[in-house]
Amino acid sequence: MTAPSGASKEAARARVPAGDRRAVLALARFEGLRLLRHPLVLTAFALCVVWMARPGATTWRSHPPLQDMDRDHQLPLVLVGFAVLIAVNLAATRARRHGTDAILDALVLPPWQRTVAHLLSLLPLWLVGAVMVAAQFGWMATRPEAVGRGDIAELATGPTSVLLLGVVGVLLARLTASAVVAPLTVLALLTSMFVLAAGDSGVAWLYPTVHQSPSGVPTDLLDRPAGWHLLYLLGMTTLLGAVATAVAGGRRRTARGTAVAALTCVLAGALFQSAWPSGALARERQQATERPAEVQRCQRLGTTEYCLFPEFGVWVDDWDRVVREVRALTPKDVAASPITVRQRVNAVDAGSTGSDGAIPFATPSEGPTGSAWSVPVGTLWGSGTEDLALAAATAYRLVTGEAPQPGTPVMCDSRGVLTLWLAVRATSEADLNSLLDGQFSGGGVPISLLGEAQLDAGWVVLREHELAVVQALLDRPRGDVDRRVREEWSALTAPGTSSLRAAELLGVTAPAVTGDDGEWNCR
Amino acid sequence: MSRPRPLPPSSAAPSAAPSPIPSSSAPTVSVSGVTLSFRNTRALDDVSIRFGEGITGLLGPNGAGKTTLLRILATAITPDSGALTVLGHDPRTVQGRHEIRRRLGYLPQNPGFHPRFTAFEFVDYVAILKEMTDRQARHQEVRRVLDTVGLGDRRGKRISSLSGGMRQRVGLAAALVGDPLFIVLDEPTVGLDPEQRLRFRELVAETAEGRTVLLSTHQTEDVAMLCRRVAVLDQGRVRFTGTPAELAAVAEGRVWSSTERDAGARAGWRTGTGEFRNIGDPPPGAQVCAPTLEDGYLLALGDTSGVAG
Repeated sequence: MTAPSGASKEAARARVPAGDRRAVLALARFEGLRLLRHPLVLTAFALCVVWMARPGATTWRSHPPLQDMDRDHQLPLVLVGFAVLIAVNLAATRARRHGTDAILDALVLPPWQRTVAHLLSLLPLWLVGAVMVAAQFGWMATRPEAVGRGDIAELATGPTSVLLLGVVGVLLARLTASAVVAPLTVLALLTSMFVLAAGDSGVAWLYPTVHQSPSGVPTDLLDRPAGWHLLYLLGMTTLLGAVATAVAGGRRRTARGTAVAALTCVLAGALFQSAWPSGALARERQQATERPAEVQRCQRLGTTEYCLFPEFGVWVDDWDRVVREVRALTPKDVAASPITVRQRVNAVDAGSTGSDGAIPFATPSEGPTGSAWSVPVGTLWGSGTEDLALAAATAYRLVTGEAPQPGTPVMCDSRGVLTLWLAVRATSEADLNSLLDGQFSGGGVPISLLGEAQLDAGWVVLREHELAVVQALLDRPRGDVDRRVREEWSALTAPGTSSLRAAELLGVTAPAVTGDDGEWNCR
Repeated sequence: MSRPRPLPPSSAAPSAAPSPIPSSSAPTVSVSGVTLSFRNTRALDDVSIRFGEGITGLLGPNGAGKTTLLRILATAITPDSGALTVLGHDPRTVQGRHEIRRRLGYLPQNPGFHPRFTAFEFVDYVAILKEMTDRQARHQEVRRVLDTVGLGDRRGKRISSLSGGMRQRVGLAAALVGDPLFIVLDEPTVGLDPEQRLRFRELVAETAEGRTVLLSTHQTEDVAMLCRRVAVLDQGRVRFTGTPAELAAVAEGRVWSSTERDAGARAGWRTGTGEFRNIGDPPPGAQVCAPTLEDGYLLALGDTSGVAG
């Protein structure tokens, strides 16, 4: 026997003594690169990017509430996780499916180390997911109109879900070489996720992502158990990874020790996340919902006082711009009248679904005492409908002297025409089209009180007849209509002035009231 | 057709004790009394064999136990009993198995390939599993072995697009990567056309330099062309060990030609000249022919009913 041939000094250099661990890392790198290039994974990541960048993805892209945006990525990354589950399963069953295990059986790295390499090959995918999340969230967080706070645990949940689902793929590969099992598992997980995780039971938190919290709740009132959930996910990931390694013949003592530690994390995470929300948090939410004045701060701009949850202060200028636009269309004395704009949120039902969710605008402390009525504004802004809603609420307040109430009041008279006209004029007239898109089958047009994203706050409804008058006004010179509004303000805002009369005062011909219009129960 | 007669004891060399095969150096592989059964089938029965540097051929019919012996030597399976060392290590221990695998190149009978891998990726993958962790050096080594097997210009091609012969060369490259000291090739020329087989023989001959190669084959031609030593395995037992010339010599004086098939021959077949070539114990006055390796192999097997013609 002779020494290794000199023809391959490279081989001798490449083989590092006692390189087990480094060989595992080298294999993990090899498999990781293949995973990243897998068509399924590439497609999933591309779809994820499209999802994150879609026009409506961050409905409040211009004014992102960071406490919501920190989990905007979670669902698309779960879909990436499903792709990774299948791709890594194909990689881990490759040897048995293609009959190369005869070769692999005689190579240095045993199956359990190859399994560890497959598990480690998921880390680059976690990293890619984390970079995507960081980029998206970072972009939002740097916007001057961003409000609230993101949670690092929420941000880590999406990429960790990718990791967890990938580990499931590796474990399945260790249990069966069939390539069909992974897609079937994805189908089962997907189905159960949308059926069980959509509910408000504690079961929902056993899934990688939980979407039961509504948008727009102030950060301190949201307080999702994201940290515990992340611990649960990491524990589950480690536990399943340890099981996969043990099944592949890994060192039992190490695998057992790891599994026990991971199981402890899983149980702790599951226990604490299911205890959410706490009783104290529920009380704070009730207070913020029913008695917001107790937790809000107010600031005055001109004759308008804005009362808001502290973290939303950067939006006051946007609100004030809308309110000023409405005021500018009214007579001087009306424009100078003091009003209060108060931010409203339904935090009571945060974390659950199935409630009617109506925000109690009229509360004992804010009873209908004339000017005490406040104009509501929501906790979301920037989708394009919130400013119309605020304009409509402000106009309603200036026209009727009251603030709109939930319970779908239907405005069937001159005040309805005037309210809608002022709202449309003060914002983008194109928003009228979006109102028409939401038209009821019976012909009524709803205007959400806090914008489309917070429909559960209720809306006021205008009949098609009042809408037709406003549409007719849009064909008239704006200056002429604005002048007539100021001149005829008293008549237009007097209770009992009909829409027909309003049309006459404003210089247009109103269409006849249809049968459908007659069926509305007017306020 | 005549009934085959039992093989004389002198024509084969079964032995319980390790039978050293002539070698230029100390034996790389030593197998002593190895036995392995699969359920009720005894695949290897008290096999003892020793060999060293150079190419050793392992001949035997289907089911002889060749692949089982090779898998044991390649550390893929463990025998029920017996002693063996490979490159000075005992494959039955974890550490020994580890050390052997670090120095082993193994091309199984049906290696299987990952069709979506390129030739380079596949050999690179195997190289990683052989603990080659320095990426740059590993890639140079992969390029080297692919050049060696003549696939340097095809390394970027997917394996699914390669011919059977090229795939076999990819398998050989995977076996050769890392410059192994002990190479186990299990019927590597099966399915190759004559030209591919010739090319493969060249490759094996080149790569055997300074290494120990165990070549399992049905093809006596491969053994005649390549091997310095040969062992014949049949029904799980070693029937012969020696040089190819010694195996051919087993048939010395026991091959003769005749115009009709000799009823006393253990095997006989009509050749292209129209004469019969007979193997066995020739009758007095028979026209004895020069024996070939195949003649010796057939006699060494002890049961030639399958080739009687």
